[in-house]
Amino acid sequence: MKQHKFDEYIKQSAQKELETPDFLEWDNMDIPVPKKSWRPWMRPSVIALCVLSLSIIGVSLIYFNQQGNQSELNVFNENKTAQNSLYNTSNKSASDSKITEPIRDKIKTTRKKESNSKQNNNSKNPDAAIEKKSVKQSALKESRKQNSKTAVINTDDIFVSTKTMIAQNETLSEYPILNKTNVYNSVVTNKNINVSNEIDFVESEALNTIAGNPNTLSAIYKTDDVSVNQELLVNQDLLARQDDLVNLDVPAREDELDNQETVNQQVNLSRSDAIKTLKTIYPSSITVKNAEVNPSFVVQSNRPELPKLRAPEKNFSLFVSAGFINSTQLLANTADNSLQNNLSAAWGSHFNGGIEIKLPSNFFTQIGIHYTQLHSVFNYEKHLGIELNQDTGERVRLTRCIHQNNYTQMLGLRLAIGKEIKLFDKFSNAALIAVNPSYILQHEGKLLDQNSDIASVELNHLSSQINIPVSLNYRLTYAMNNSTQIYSEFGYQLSMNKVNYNLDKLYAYRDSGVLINLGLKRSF
Amino acid sequence: MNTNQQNIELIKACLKGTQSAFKTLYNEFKGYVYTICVRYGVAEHEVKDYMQIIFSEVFKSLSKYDPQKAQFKTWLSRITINQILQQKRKRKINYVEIDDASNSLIDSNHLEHIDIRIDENKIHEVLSKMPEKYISVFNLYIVDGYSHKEISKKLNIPENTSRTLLHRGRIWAIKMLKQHLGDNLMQFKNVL
Repeated sequence: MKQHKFDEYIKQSAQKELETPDFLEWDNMDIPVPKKSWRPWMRPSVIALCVLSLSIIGVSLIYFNQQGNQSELNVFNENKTAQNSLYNTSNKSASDSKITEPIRDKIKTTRKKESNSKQNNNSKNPDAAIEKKSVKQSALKESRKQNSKTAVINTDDIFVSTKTMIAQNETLSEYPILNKTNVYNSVVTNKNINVSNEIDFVESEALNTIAGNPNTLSAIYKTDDVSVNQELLVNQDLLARQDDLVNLDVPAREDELDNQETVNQQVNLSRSDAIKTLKTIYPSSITVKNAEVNPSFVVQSNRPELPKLRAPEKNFSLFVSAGFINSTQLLANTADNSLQNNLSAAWGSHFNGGIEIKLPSNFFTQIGIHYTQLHSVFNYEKHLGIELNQDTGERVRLTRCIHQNNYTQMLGLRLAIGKEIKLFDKFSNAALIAVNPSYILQHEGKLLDQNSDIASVELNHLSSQINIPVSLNYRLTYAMNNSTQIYSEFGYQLSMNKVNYNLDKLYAYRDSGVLINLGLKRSF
Repeated sequence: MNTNQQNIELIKACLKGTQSAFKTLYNEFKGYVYTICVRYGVAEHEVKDYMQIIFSEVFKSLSKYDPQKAQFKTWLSRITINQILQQKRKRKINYVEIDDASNSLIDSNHLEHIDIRIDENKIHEVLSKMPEKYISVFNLYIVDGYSHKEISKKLNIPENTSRTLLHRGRIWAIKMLKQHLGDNLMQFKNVL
């Protein structure tokens, strides 16, 4: 009982608060104050905003990219129809006839006439036919003796190379030897091929390539005696396809047919490879002459009127840029300038990304996201007093030197509109105004308050964490190619806000500075 | 608005990150925390360190405070005591186990003459000088209302040791109070 009373007495006495000594005053303490934590809804909101922005940009890019591809596909589909009609003679469709039928008809007619005259000649002079056969056979034999870079090509052959898209005529005496270089760099055409006292005159012109696909190499040849060098076909992408040839209703003697088969077997060796890589063949014109036997005839150019294969106009670009911004804080409403006198501008960083959409009259607009880190430096020397050094008797002035980096980080949207003017050749310039609604992520540092005390710059001093910097920019662009551009951007950015640095007064806070960006733009 | 509601508003301001709120909270409760530190025998030269550690922990843990469960002072005292004991543990203050026979040392005659009107500051001064091995148990049991079971868990000592230390602390306190207060003592029987 007595113990209990004693305990109660001690408890009551001990719970009375003592007076705290001066050294425990707040200013003398160094207690770390936790920074403001993200509100629960803030982080997911900012992440959702970023993801939404990126999703919109991504979907837009994919959509417009597909639109562009679709228009290109439409053009190529039309061309493919034309191609197919030229070469897939076994796959006849309604569209085939547009291009091939006129050619085929003319050639058939010519060949019939030719064969008739041949038959007549042969019937008149069967020895001549035999002689012709022997010459052809010898030609084949000799061609086989050639190295792999050559080919023997009989009459009525058309060789096309799109490498240079230039037609060349060559006069081949007796055996048209196709040189590798000729095939690779030029169109090779046989002309005046003299076999068994006949003069078969074949002429062809170079054909076009598909625009934007300079590697497409194509060839047309048609023959009843064809020898094509396989290596040539493979290595040089010279494409050959027997099926593509115009069928000839040429009655031939059995021995001639045998020779033809021999030669065609040689062609067949390369056919599969050729078909695999066959892409495009555009005959420009075909002229067939048989000066002696038949009156010369000309197959007029029946080149399809293909739409121009100009790349569709690229109205959408994806851009990214990074750079620096040199900003200065400026506070209004202050009795003196002490607040900003100790602040100096420093280079912060600046990142942009988004899509640029072309508008009529060379105007364009930009939609994207940006991240900006504003940076300023607080330098201050606080005089602490004068102390006497008892050893030396000297008076020592005590000074506290403060060097503090102040940062403000912003994340937000980039909305801009501008006008582009072409300068010359690959250069163009543009002026644009950008509005960047931003959320301030970080705002910290130090400065002097009105009482010349060092005050902390904190996020909660801002009246609002939403800020809307506005910038006027000049952009100089260099086009590396049709779709890729690099640019540098110079601008002046201004943002306004309200702050309360000394906890009892709101200041108008202005952060302004120049920015320099380097960027890359890719058009779709 | 009562004190507890004011405290809650202050805590909300702290959670928003207002620096002035932290300062206000500190000024409001620094005396309370300081008193606990003194009671638990924190040396004067160490008080500042302890206060910094305690308030740093309090500011960090503010979001965990639930006004429905306890008053802020109660929550604060628990954090303060825990931090003091933790710091003392770090400084390796060991409790020596004492067998129950030592309880026989209690001599109620020591408590015969204590003045009930003695100055509370004197009591704080006397108690702050209590040996380390007694002071925690003495304060935890008598002032802060912990049971021996709780004390044994907190200090990681057997319950009997806690009881013994409390007894010895009592004896020491009475002895010291008598020494310090001398002639001002009244009859001890009035107290016990």
